[in-house]
Amino acid sequence: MLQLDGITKTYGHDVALSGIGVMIEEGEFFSIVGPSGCGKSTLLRIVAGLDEPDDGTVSIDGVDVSGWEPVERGIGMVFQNYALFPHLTAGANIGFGLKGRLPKEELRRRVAEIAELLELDAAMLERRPRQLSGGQRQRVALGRALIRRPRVLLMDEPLSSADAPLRERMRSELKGFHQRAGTTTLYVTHDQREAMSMSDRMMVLDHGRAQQVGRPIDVYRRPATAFAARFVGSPGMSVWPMPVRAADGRHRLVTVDGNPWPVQVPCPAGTEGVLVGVRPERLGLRPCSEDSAVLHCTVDTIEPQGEQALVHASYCGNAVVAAVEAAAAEQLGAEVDLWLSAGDLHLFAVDSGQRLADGRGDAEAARAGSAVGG
Amino acid sequence: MTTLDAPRPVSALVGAEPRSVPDRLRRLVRPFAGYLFVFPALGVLVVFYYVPALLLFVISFFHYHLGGAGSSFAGLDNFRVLFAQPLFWKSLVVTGYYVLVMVPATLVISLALAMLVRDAARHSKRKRGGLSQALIFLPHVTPLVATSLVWVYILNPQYGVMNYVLRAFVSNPPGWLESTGYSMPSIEIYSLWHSVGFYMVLFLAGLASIPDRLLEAARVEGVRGFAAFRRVVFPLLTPSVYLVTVLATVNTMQAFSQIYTLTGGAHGEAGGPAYSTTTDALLIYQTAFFYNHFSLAATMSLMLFVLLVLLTVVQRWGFSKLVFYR
Repeated sequence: MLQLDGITKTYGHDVALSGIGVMIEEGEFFSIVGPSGCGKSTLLRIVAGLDEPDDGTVSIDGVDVSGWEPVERGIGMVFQNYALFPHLTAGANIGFGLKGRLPKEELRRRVAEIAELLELDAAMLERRPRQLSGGQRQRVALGRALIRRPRVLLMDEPLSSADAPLRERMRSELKGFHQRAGTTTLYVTHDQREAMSMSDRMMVLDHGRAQQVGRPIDVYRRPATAFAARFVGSPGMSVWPMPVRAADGRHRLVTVDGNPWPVQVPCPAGTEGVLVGVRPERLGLRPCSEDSAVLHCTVDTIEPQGEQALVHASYCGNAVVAAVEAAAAEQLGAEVDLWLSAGDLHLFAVDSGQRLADGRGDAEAARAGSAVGG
Repeated sequence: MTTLDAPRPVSALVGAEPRSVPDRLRRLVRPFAGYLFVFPALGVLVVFYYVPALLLFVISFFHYHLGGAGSSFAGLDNFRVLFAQPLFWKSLVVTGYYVLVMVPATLVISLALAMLVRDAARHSKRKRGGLSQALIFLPHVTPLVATSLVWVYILNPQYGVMNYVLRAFVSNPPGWLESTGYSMPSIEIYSLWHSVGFYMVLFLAGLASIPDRLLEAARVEGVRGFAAFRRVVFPLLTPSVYLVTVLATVNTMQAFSQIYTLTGGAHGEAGGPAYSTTTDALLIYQTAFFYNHFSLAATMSLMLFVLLVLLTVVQRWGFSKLVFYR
């Protein structure tokens, strides 16, 4: 439906995007998520036709649309902070692109149709943007993007200007809307929770490089890079380096003080260390299986979250986060032993951050019963 | 005056420190402090602006002689004399011609320049239009009389640069300041050269307040170029358009120096040829200081003032529907 192929963009010496390629299916809700400055907005602007890539192509329905104006591409766009025209009423904002191109009656009918879809009543359509609430502005912006019945709807951090409770509501509103309308949607956000909760598939982007593309649950269970591991999840995975020792043809993890860990590592000969990652929920205060390993940590802070508490600890100078029962967390002293099961470990290469081919964390995915391709 | 209303310092409530002399002085002065600060500026305004303005109003109802001796109440005599003067009506027409050309021309040219400078800045490497902006603004900081004298030479029909260039295109270039038909356009050309830079800067400030994102939103909706200007930029620029219209109207109605100088004020023959450039301002000046007819000049000033107020009211009313304030 929407295909990106080798999209590359540089600003001077800064690489904004590097060889981004992805195929987005008809009706899919696809998120691009990453920290600020990762190139996600640039990518969206390139899809929109507001910027041109240095290299690579954007195709919609199999047609290369490079050099086409946004309106020719058949895209609709919701801007960050909405970019509504302050001098026009909500209705005029929605009908902006079609004014003068449709007969007046037809235009009014289309605006009313969209307003009904977005649950904007007639009185609201007469108001100027500044007289509308944040949620209403969002719906007007959405209406303006949708009235031309775009093939692809682009959204650039539409929820970033909303406060937390409103964001939560608008998130579900957007998702509900997508389920009703089924418009192919490309959604940009820095908030991995938004991407996780709304998308069919997502792309994790860092420094202009695609870290991983996949269903949110797959990215969560089987992060392809150390960055994706750290970025996705609330909080993200704790990742730290550990030495590797080779013995009788096998590689084993060892702790800094030389104690062997019950974990074998698949890595080429000569590897001296790997990045080890584990989800906070998979770190416990007690051993839970026979192949358990322990981390002797010092406690930095404890963050109560109700049922659970987040224990922010240091393991040999590396930050480690564990989600434990709140009651147990209250009993903690300055030191804590955090236990993990070898099967919950995710292993990444130190230099590239790439997931090591058959890291033991795969067991977790297998246990959860999801069918993930190798 | 009692000190009851004055706020009591904390020290007085606590009773800790005895009051010093400066402290007492401060308490005494405090209620008037604001007026004291305003006084210097206000004093100058009153003495040199409000009082003369009031005197002008009074004088226009008197037969007035310089110094006041031998003056007598005239009732509406001055107005009767004034309205019977063909030259007064002629000067109104001349002024109207000047204003009606200058205000729209100022709006169009300075806005067009602002758009160009902004576009140039956007496409330049450093995203600034500093140089072009400075060059266009430059004439505005030059003294009116000095550059007017230069333009007298530029516009000289025989030896001027203007006609030297024009002769390459037309065989019979205009006589500019020496012809009745082209004398006013000459002044208008000079005045635009001198002032558009200033109004351009006002428009640039207005343009800077319009987020680029709105234009991108319009572009996504397929609205670009002039349509985007008409439907997005202009409506958001109306406060600047209003400001420029009012300022340009007031400035052109009161224009004097360049008209006086360009039309030969240095040789005592300003306003020609054949009164074709005798605006209100010029006529008032000549009536007062050439013919020493102060009460008539005062009456004309009053009329000019009334006209300006009327115009401004009309403009306010006209723009109230057009201007959009965020």
